[in-house]
Amino acid sequence: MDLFAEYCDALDEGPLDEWPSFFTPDAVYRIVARENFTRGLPLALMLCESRAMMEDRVRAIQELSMYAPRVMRHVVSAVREPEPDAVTASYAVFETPPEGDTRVFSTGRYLGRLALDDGMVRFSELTVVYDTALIPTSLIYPL
Amino acid sequence: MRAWPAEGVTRIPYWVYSDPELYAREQQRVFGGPFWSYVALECEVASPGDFVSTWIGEQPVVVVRQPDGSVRAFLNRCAHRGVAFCRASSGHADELMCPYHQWVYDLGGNLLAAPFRKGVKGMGGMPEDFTLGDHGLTSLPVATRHGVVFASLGAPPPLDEYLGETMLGWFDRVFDGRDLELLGYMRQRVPANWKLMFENIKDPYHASLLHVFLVTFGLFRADNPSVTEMDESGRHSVLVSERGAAASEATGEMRSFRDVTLHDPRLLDPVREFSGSATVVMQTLWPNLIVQQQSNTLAMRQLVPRGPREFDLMWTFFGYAGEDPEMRTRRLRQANLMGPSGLVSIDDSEVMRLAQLGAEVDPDAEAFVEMGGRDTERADHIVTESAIRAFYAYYREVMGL
Repeated sequence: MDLFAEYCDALDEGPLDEWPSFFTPDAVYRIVARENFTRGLPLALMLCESRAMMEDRVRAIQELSMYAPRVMRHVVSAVREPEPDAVTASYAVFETPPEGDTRVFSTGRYLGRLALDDGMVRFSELTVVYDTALIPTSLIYPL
Repeated sequence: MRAWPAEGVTRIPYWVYSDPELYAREQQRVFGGPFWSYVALECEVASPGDFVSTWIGEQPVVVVRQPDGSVRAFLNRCAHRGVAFCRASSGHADELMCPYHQWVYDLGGNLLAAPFRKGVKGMGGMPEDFTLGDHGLTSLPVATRHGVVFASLGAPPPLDEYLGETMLGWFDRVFDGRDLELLGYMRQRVPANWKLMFENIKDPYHASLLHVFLVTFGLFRADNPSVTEMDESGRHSVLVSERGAAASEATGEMRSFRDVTLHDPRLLDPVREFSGSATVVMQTLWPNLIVQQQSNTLAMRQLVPRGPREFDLMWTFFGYAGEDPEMRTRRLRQANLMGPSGLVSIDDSEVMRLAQLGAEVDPDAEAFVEMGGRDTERADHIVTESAIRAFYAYYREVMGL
């Protein structure tokens, strides 16, 4: 699925401003702990209820938050379309600080809904369910 | 043990963040002492047999709802060979069983069965005088208040006495007797000493500078009416402030101030829900809890030390049972400000890591903590580090430093 390749490329190589463009204007993006997801608890680690909210998140990351620089790398596999307009995949995300000691940052899966928007296939919903319950220090960028 | 600097609590020697002997003593005296540690919310163990596993210091603990409706806590340690028998973070059980030799306990921690204790075909078995009743789980003192469960590895005074009148007032503001609703968890591992987390919340000075997001949107500002207040012992404290306007005099000294507006203003749409003018109340309760109320986001932050150089922060977000769906949505939305990916708290996790890096390399150097003076008293502002000084004054007493 080319969409994931392009999506991950935008997150890993930037610019981060491109990330919201993978979503429809009223899309919901959530990063949810596996524990919350399986138990039906509604809390998300990151919740954007519109593309505008994603743009706000990007702006905050770029201008308002303080954090050490790092490089993220997504590896996505087992992409499936269990039904029309739905997509699932597994991911591993690695994090590399300036010192260079890469570590596994997060593993989990994507649960997406797709829609045709402005001639492009975009996510109308994307839920990232992460296995790595203990976030190493902090999660700056969307997954 | 090394000596504290002669200046007293206006200095914090950097060895307190890395010394392994000191850390071992903290496990005994701070987390193992006569203090009430936060272990759970009652709504996490709503029905008899519900359990959660948690920690007091490094000690694994399991909290279990009893058939009679009470809540009890046990060391997560089989009475036989010490196995941490409960491996799930939460669940429901009719009895508690250790997987190693299948010793089975009832929900009250009483040993019900130990296989082969009478031997097999006349061979082996426990000695004649073995009595099931002598080998129950280690039960801990438990205290609950308005839906919050505390337990202790020591023998603490009654909870209300332990918290003191000032802290109880702020505690009961959020925990007013309404049933709580669990919204979910966030967890993170921070490569820093656990005390840096307490220092962070006890230091309102930083919040008005480091947290550009808070300041930008007026959620926390050096010139908003504020209070920094301690209990009599200095071990607990609370920071209270109010939401204010955007740019003002206090942002003039802030180099990182930005004039930003949100594309989707729903993110910051707080509604007043508590009496009084405070919109943010951050309470730190010795030895392992931060109670967070920022706008409409409510959470317990439980500290679990993982060696001198690391701690886990367990965030439990909650609301009130049966409240209107709009408020619930608001709480979930504002959770974006908090946690390992919080628009505000990202800054803290990152800066604690940097503080640890700075402090570790030269344990004999020391931090300078004189903002707001040298005292340990309450202040009607946030331009102070007095709550940090008060914390260390008490810490030194407990630790014999």
